[in-house]
Amino acid sequence: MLNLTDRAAEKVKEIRDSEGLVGQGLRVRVIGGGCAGFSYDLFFEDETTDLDQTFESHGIPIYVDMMSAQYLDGTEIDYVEGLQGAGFKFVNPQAKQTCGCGSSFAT
Amino acid sequence: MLHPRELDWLRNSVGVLALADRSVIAISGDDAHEWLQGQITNQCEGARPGASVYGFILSLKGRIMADVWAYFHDGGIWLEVPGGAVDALMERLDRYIIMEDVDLERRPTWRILTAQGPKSDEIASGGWPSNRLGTGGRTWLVEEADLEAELERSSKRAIDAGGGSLGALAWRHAHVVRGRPLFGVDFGDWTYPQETGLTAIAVSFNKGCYVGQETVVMLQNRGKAPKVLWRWEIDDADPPGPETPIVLAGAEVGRVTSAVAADGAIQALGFLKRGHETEREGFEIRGKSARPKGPVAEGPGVGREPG
Repeated sequence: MLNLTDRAAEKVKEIRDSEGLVGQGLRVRVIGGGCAGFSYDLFFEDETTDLDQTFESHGIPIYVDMMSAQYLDGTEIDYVEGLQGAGFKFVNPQAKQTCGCGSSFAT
Repeated sequence: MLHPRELDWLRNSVGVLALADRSVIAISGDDAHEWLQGQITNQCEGARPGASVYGFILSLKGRIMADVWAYFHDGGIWLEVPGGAVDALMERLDRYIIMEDVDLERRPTWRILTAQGPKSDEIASGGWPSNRLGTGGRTWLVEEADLEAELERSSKRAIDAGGGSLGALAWRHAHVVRGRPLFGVDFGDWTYPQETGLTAIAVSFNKGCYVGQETVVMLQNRGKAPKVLWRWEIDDADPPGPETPIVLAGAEVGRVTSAVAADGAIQALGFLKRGHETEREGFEIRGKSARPKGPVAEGPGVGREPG
């Protein structure tokens, strides 16, 4: 299971609407690489496959492939703004270590 | 030992040999290129078929698991790796393939044939650039069954170009003389990239994230490496063995990693601990005077000074 915070959901909708992607879901996946070994990847997509798990959070469809799901179970995606920039922040209970910028993790 | 003639080939013409201690992993799939970029210390972005990239594969903690040559071709990438590290590398690399379209496969029957020296391009067409000693070089991947014939043909070409065929021991010794550390001998999983002196040719500091990068960047930005490989010349009759202490004013300040008799003296590579970089006199190895010739990073093996 994977959830968006209120702020993250609001931002996702804002981006989706501004790019004319209404109706599309949010693909969340884990890819190899990044300082700590695994990186998060987010993008909009309108198709799912047999390998996907689908969730819904704040009315936004979320698609996660089964391999990525193993690394993302229980993850909350937040959206933060600060002096050092703004972006989506992953709070992943399975991550034993994250890199300084927070874009990658190790299990 | 390294015959002066062989060193002359490497410096002025060309020497050829098969690298028996190296092996090949095939990387294929639509995501191969982008995925490798997240695994290796050097810049792979934009590498076209026929190009090569030298770099390190690091552990999560930033230690060097292997030095690799990535050879780009139309169907993917051949990764030349230390033979003894293949199993550990396959496990390490496979761990970071999630849903990417990437396949890894050993190529146990492939052999690595290399020509090193300024006339290496005269040996054969094709292959990939691979400058391993700072004098230019080219490498080809050949099936084991074809190796003997390819070596014979390459040796003849090398002789025509004023060079010849190198022995394995000469090859190893040439690295010491040229100041180009060897994986498994001078550096390995006990070293960080900055300690090798090879960052100029093996590490990109603006390519973005790769596994182990955080430690590398921290070391680069926050301080100096605890120890760094230097080139040494020793007034001794025989080369000291690996791990022989380098002493300054009675205190150990480093260790020899490899040494060889060449150019009328004993040439060596050895780590020098941080804090002694500005010292020039008073070093001893086995009680004999040792002269620091400079860090590997500034030497001929990485193409920084004529050799």
